[in-house]
Amino acid sequence: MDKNEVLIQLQEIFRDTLDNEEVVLTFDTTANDVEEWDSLTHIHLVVSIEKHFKVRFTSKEIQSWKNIGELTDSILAKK
Amino acid sequence: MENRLQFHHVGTLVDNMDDAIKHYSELFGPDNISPVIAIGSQNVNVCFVKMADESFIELVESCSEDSVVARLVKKRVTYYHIGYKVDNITATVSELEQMDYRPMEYFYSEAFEGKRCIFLFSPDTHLIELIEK
Repeated sequence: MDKNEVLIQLQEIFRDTLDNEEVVLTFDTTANDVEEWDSLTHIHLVVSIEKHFKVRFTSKEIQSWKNIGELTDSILAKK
Repeated sequence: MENRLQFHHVGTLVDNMDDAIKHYSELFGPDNISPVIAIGSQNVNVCFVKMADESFIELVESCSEDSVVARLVKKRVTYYHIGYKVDNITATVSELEQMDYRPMEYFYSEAFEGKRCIFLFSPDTHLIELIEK
């Protein structure tokens, strides 16, 4: 799996979890760019991402991503 | 679990605090309604309705239209967290993390004399709040 494949799958997870089919992710997307992505929905997203990719993040990792690119790298590092 | 959780409140969202207080005063009597307290770090107003000793409903009103809480209100979420008092908040958080709970960031709450608080999600994404005694 490469970064682009992860990105496409992340976009589906974001759309499902945030209940917004119009979410479009790039590697530069941050929480400020997605209206529904806040501190509460962040945890829901993490749980969905962990289940989908069968990975597990630490509490530190969850708070450390600055954008979708860093989240993608974090997923790939665990695969 | 070594660090015991002592039930304190159920947090519920309200559209309008004045209307909610009027309603809960009718239900439980005005003597059981606390003053409204502004919690700056969370951008909310809260008010406690006493059910029994150390058991409350916490009414939570958003202070802005684009806050996390305001978004939950728009989704018609009502009851959304349970608050527990704990003796040692950092030890309890560590223990809960071992049980796959996800902590958010610590904050100091005007509702609890400036004591340290934290929200955590259970593995099933139930939201709880810990309040340092």
